[in-house]
Amino acid sequence: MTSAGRKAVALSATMRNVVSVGVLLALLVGVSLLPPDTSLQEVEATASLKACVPPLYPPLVTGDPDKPGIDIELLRAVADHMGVSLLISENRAMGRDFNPRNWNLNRAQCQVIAGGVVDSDQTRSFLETGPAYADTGWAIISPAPLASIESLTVGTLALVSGLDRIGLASFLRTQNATARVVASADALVGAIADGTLDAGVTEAMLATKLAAENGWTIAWASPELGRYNLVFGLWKGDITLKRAIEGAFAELSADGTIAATLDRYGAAPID
Amino acid sequence: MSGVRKRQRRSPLMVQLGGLYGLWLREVKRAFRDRGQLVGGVSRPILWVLILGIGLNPYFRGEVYGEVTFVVPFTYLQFIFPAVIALNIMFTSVQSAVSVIWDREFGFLREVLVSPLSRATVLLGKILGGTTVAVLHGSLVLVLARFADVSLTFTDVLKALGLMTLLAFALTSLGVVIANRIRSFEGFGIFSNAVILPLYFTSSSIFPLDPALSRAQTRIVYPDWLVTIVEYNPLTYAVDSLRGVLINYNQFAPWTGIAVMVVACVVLFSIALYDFRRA
Repeated sequence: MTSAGRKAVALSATMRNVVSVGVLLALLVGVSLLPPDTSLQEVEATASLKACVPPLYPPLVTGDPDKPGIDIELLRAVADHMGVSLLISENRAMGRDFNPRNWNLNRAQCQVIAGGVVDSDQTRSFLETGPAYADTGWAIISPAPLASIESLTVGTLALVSGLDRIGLASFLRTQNATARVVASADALVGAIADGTLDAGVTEAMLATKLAAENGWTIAWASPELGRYNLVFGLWKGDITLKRAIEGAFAELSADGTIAATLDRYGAAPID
Repeated sequence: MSGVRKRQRRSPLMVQLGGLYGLWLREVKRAFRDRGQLVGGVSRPILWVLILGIGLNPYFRGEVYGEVTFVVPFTYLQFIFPAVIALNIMFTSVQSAVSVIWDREFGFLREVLVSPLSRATVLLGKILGGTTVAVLHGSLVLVLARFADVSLTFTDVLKALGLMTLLAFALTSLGVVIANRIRSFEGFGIFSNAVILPLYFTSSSIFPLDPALSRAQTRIVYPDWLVTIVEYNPLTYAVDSLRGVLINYNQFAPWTGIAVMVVACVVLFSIALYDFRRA
């Protein structure tokens, strides 16, 4: 065989190897584009997105048909973007009990859990989390600015959020504050207004709203308690639905819908 | 003398490095020409991630919020993803050592051994070649990261490549140790599978030892003998390190995996070298 012939054979062998590698890589890339679950398919088949929320968690869920809350409005926008309708399932246990096990939420009831889900390690142990749309953490409200809450009587309203309750209890103990657990936002406002409580600690979005409505001051509780993103919870493994919601969120964020919704509810960041 | 090129004498170090490069390149080229090995490198992740991962994914998730048997904050697909990288590396590393038998059978090894290259250089060249190919096969699994919903940053990939290199080096050395003891292709194939699969299945690669459980609780959930095997299997710690980097989940202290792999590299390379010098 001539030198040119040998070169041609070698080139042809190299080309065959390159083509083989290319075909196999294309196969892998093709596989990676397959849907890994049926969660989005299920939403599309029923043309509805089902969400579980507590009956009341202002400003995320208000129960007011004209101004139903940030989470409800955002979910509605996501559902519209996906071309499906939003079905809200109110779960009374979510407003009563902080232990998610007692809420008895299951896949048959809803595909999304909303109304104060925070992106914490605890939440991620059980749920997939959607994109973040606001910042939260424990915040303190009081009629007048406070240098500290040391030796004060403080009302705590935990509601459903996955914020660190044990951390909050430790913080209040280290401050020698007397903690009083309150059951609702109205009870917290009433007790602060009549002087039974010196201050209140609750989730930051709710705290912002209560402070704005009553002309009170608001501050983050403590840097050690951590700040979290507010998210929607999805069932573990529902990747295709999570991607669809993330896609919708990206567009809603780009067209200003999310910012406008937060503004409408006065969910301004705490300075 | 004019017109005659003087041949420069290369230093002994350059001779060794040149030989090392040549042997490394030969192993890499041979692996790329071996379509069977390439198909294996692609089919394994597809089968394990696509079929096993998707098939078992629903059984490892909670159906009621807050109620899960094990608090493993990941889907089964995410959980086995790093393990499939380890599996691809294991098969490729150990199989690449078959070239030792091949070279011995067809006389190439004899020619190399009479060259000025030291035995350590010859062995290192072969092992580095096998390591490179195994790391490339391990990296093929990363293409499926989106499918498994594993988010990777550039730093994660770099760290994973470092761990994969350590694992591949140790396992290629293990393959050479096996190849030095087994003289036929058939025997090597059977023996290597008898090593790879038990190592893989007992490395907590396909089932988690939940770190939220205490040691005593783990031994109640699983039979005592299984927990002991998993804890004594060095691959357990390698897979755990990869999980730490890729999905931020460790069942053991994060440094353990690196320490175990470094020790495995040194010990297995030393044994391979000892065998190679005696061969």
